[in-house]
Amino acid sequence: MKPKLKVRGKEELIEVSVNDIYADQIQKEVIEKWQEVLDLAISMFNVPNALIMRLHEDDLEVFAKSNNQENIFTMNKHAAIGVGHYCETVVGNDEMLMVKDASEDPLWEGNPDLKYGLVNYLGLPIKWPDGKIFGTMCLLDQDANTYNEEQIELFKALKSNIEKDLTLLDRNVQLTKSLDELERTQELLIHHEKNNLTNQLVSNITHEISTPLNVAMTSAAYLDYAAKKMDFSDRDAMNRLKEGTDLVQRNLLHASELLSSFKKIANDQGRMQEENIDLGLYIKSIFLSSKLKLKEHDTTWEVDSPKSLILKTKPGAIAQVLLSLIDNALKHGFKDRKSNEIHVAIKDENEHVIITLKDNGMGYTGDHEEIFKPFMRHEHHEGAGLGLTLVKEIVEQNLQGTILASTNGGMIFDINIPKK
Amino acid sequence: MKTIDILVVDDERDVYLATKLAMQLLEFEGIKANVSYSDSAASAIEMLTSNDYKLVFLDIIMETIYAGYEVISHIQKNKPNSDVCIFIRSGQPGNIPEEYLSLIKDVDGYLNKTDCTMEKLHDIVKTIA
Repeated sequence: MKPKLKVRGKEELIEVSVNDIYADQIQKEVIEKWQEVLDLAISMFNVPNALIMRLHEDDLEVFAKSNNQENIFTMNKHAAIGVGHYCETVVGNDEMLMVKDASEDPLWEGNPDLKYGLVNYLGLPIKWPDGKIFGTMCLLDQDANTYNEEQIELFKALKSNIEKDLTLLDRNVQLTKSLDELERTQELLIHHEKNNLTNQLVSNITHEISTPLNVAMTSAAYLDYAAKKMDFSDRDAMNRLKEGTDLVQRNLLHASELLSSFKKIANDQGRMQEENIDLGLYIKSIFLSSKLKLKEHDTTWEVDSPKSLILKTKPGAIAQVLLSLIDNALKHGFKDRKSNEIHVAIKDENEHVIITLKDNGMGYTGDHEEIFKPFMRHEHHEGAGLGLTLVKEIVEQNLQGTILASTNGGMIFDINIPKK
Repeated sequence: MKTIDILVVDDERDVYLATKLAMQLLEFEGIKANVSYSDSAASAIEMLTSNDYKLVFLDIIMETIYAGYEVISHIQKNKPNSDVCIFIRSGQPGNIPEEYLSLIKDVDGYLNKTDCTMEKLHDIVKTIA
């Protein structure tokens, strides 16, 4: 925004840069404080009108005024520019202006302020931290008047007080901005971590791959058994053996084809639809899907559940939560440890289902609320530090439940999910 | 030698072939298993209408994602006194849609596909035969 100003003593209109982005965010409290500063000014300098003017594209606005009856200006009133106000000269020249008596001075001819008999003026430009214009701070009087050096210093001090508020506001806006950016980054990271989990989930429990592998396994077991018991001169028996080897080969090939298509499937988001699941069976199948990882960390597991506890819920969310907590135990709780155990207890409490996951790892010594905050991690922890943040988010948003962490020997997580 | 009639319902023919092979070995233990095969819920219902099976290994996801439950529902409606044993053999044993919840009481067991070994199959048949 570039308002054009009529500056006294200059032929052409002067263009200045105004920062108008944050001006509307100046709070009521700040304007009230400015008014108090102006009240102080009128009593110190003994003049009737003290103002803070805000410069707009086409006009000047009374943004704050001293709160005395003698002040003839009206709050938020706009006055057109380009006509030679005192304030235009202050901003255009970017310096202090002191006018003792404009009434007899041809330089100030046609100044609208003179219509009100305001012949005396003292003004300073008010600027944002980036050097762009906000407006002016000024004193106006109907009587000729002069200010001594001390008074001017005081006036400048009051003005810099006002500018400090603008600096604060500017900083505040910048901080809010970078905070927003940080939150967006965090959202992105969480999204990324969710995808990661989905990938695990898909590649772990994909229904398709279990069939050919199982067929191959059963056939191989058959071959092993049959080889010991069969009479190899029997042509019929030999044919059946051939049938077995064909099955093994064909199904292993099928399994490897499926594996190569996993990369594509893994990019799909986890499904978040509601289904009826047998919670105990489902959680067991989650552990089964992590068999290899559990074995790698020398971890045994157990799931205690009431028989056929059917829950209408989002299986995708349950799986993501459990996989994350298992992952957390393996990576953090069991780091470099042997004989690890994870125990899951499921309790049916009429309105709620409580899933308690307990491990015999190293636990956590700090504030247990902290571990759900993003980027919380021990120096020996790997990963982005978002695993548990994600768990909390899924429990609260997708399952409408709560999660609590505590330490008693190892880590304990209590997940409370309402039944619907 | 005892005889048992088994029906394998699965859209993967190889599952049937492997089961049949596994069952042949039971002959060494005195059990003759006649294994029949159906690749869909529709044809399974047909076969169940005209034959009496002692044991059914039932896949769920076939022509539809809940096709297997249709087979159980049919048995319940048309052969309420039948003593057929039903074992669900599925990749996702935990998922049960609401409309089929009432059928679960007639299911004798779940087999997770990844966890269903020849030994397990033998154990099941030996208990029933």
